[in-house]
Amino acid sequence: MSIEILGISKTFSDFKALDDVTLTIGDGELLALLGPSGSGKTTLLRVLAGLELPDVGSVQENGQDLTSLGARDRNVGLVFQHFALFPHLDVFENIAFSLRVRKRPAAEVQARVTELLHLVQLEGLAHRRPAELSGGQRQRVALARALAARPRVLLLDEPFSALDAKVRHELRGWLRRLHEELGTTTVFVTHDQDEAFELADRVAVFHRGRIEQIGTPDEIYDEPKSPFVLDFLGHVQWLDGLAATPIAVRHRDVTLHATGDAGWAARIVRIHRTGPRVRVDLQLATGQALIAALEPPAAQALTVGQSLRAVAERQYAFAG
Amino acid sequence: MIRIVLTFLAMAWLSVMVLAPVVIVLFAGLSAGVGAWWSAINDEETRTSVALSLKIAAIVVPCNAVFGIAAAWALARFRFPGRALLLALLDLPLSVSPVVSGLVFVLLFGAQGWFGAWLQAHDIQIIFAIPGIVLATAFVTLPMVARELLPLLESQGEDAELAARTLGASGWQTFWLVSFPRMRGALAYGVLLCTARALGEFGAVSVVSGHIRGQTDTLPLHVEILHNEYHFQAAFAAASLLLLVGVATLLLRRLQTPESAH
Repeated sequence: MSIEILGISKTFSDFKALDDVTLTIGDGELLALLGPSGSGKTTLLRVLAGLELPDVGSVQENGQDLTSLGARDRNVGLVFQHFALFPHLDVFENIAFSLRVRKRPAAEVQARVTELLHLVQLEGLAHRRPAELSGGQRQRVALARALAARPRVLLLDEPFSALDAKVRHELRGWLRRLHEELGTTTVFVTHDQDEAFELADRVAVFHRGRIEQIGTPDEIYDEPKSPFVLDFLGHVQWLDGLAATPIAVRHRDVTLHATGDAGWAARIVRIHRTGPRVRVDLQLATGQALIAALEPPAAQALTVGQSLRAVAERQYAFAG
Repeated sequence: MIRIVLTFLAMAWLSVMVLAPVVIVLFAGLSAGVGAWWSAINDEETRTSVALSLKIAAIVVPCNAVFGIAAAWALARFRFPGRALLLALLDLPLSVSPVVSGLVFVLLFGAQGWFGAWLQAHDIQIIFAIPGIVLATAFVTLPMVARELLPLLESQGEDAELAARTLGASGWQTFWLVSFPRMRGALAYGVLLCTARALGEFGAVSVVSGHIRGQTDTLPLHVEILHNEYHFQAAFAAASLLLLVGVATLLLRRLQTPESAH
């Protein structure tokens, strides 16, 4: 049951949110839409959910056109950034909502909701109101609610951005396991590259309403197709004046050598610890700044002011 | 020091301007004893005026509640041409003098009004009759429900309703299962305010009513008549009923505050 997005464009007054986007979502795939705010990723999610009608283009599932199908009839599960739980209903009734509006028999509702409560590990909280839950619990209720009617695709809009860092990491791992267990085709929007890379089978990088690059996390990380993608992934330094076009070097691709004549002559300006790596700020003899992110053992013998050779194990240049 | 002075000033001003009149109305109404108070209220004309006021409110409040929900909904959820105009118009009944509101209806439906000749030809009485009072009251209380709902709907946002739609709810189901339960508190307060104002409206109703005793005299108009005829104790007794409506509104508001908090 693959979903095809064909040539979709959407303009809001004079802002082009989506510009001729074409994309195929494989059956059972976990796809991340990654990009800065305003890049069109959320608009595409809303088009998939049937909440937004594209100006041009279509959404198809196995050749069947879904474009004009409204949100109500499309049977997609959408999880909102701020969960959008129904505050006046308890956890059970929130999850049961899609079954209640479909007038499913009470016994079936009871069975399905119980199953979902187990799946999201909230068995004991069926009769709490959303206001009595933690952020992570609310998120799981929203997920269970979206899954209740067995949607053809699960859509998540910045699902973890409203949670604190620790819960965010726990839920990421949990969502990945859940996806492997259920196999529901899932699309999620994020501006956090770590999140996209950790969770997704494939990542689509958005920029100004277009898909800049799409591929597996490895493909995108190893072969960024444009300066934007490389920049967006971060931890990269651009160097002008060393070659005909600017070259880019990732912090982690820089190695430092006390001897030899490979690479560039450099002087250490500052050394400081950033999480698992040590960041060394360098100044090249030709004036440019360069940053090296080293494993702690490799940084042990270094001192500020020291002169050495900086080698870029890998560098990127983009024509034009 | 400043705190004491400001608190004292506020309390003193409130006492003189609000508390004193309330006490005086009750005191004057009960000056000849509870028996006299009751017989003044139980007077035939007073009873008729109370019944008329209740009837007017029973017609006006549901209409304005439905309109208020629709208007607040449209204003909070949609951006459409004329939205700013609708917002401004919504406030007009609150900002314009009630006398002017009443006069508008006289101008439209009075004997010399735009539709006067046509109405007379078809033997339809609006001014100096109940329809006129209903119209004037409806006009004056028009914004009360919408004004309570609008800020609530705007602060809630539309995510819950969009969620309901993606979960398969029809528009009607979304309204009854999601939107309505969430606006119940504010709606109840808007209805309370609207009812209190509908029962108490004087200016606009005074213009269109014609003060026909036992027919078009609402409770506030009846209070004025009693007062003008030097039945002071009876006037204050009747006025104390309106006062009770006001106090009851505030008490009910207190009761439902915890629920409307979320």
